Amino acid sequence: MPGDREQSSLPRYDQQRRVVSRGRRSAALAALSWSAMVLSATGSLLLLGGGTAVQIDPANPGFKPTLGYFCVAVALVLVASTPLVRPLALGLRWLRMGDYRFAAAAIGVVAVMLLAAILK
Amino acid sequence: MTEMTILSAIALVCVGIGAGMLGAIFGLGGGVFITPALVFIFHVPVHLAVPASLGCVAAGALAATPRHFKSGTMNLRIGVILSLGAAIGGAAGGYVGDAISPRAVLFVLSGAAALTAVISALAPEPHEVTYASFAGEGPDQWPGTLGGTYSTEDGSIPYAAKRPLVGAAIAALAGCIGSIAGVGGGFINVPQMRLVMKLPTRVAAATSVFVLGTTASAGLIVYYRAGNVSPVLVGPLLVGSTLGAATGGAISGRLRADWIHWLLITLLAALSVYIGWNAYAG
Repeated sequence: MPGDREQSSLPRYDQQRRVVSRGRRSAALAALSWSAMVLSATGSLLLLGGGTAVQIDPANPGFKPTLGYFCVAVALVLVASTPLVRPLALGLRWLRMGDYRFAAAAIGVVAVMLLAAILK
Repeated sequence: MTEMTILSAIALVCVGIGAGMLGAIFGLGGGVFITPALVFIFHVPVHLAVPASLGCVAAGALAATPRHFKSGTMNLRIGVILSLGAAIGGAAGGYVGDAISPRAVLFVLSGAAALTAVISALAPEPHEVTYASFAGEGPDQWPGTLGGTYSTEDGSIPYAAKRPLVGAAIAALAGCIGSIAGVGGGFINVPQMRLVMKLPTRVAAATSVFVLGTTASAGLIVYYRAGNVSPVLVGPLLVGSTLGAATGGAISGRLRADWIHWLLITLLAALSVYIGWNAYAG
């Protein structure tokens, strides 16, 4: 098992920089998560504004062009696009490092997600 | 429920908090609790409940990611390899879930809950092995490999994933089932990473969060294109599940592991029987 590390010809990460970078990225992800939550809360309050009941129409549940729906839509885009953007960023980073196999896998994830969004 | 009022929105936020907390405590996405709650308590049609639940799973995964990422237990390379399978399975599950009857979806959900209970009861506890040569090393991933190290109170523990292609294939199956039933698929991914890929539990649980987000998003995209995403439902649930996941993550370390284990098994077994019976009775 420790031998796996020696088999790789790629340079190892700088531990000090790694800790700083991990802290920065996790803070960015946390900010993204809380932004989505605040947007959802705002959207929900706008939808229910003034105590008005909102109809859920099972035949036509999609988004409608109001500010409340827009806020929830943006929140949902933030949440659902993270698994699309992160593999893309990782793929590009690994490509620069020369870690081609994993870069290809990461780009593959992005391609599948995009296909799912395009294909009907 | 065809009408949403302030009270029902508050009730939905509470459902989201409960599911997010349970999901974070038990290491699942929480969707296994949201879909039945929406269908049986709020009487939401199944084809609207499943995407709403997937939205919460994606939000919960995003909320739990910073904690796992910062601790260095989330292996991004393993996550990406499994996500490739999970994205294909998640998208396929979205198409299947949209095509089959609500009753069939409930049977899949009942089966998923039963499978989670059985796997949780039978999967053996793994042993963490320390290597003297890794003493003092911080959590790390090894570029070009599916291995790395993570830190415990006893020192640094190295690991390397075995059988990644089998793991990706199982992640695809988990993604498909998860997307049909509105659950993340973590109930299959965590045990398979431990038993098939021979990964330590902490790495498996953390990396599963990465995969969970991919599965839920792939399914959500397909359901959105089919016009089955109701923002009125998703908004309050998303708020609740983010709060619940953050709270559950903070308190999970203080609870007794054996109690959590058996509580999860009991809860899931009861849920499976209840959903299955209701689906059978029509």
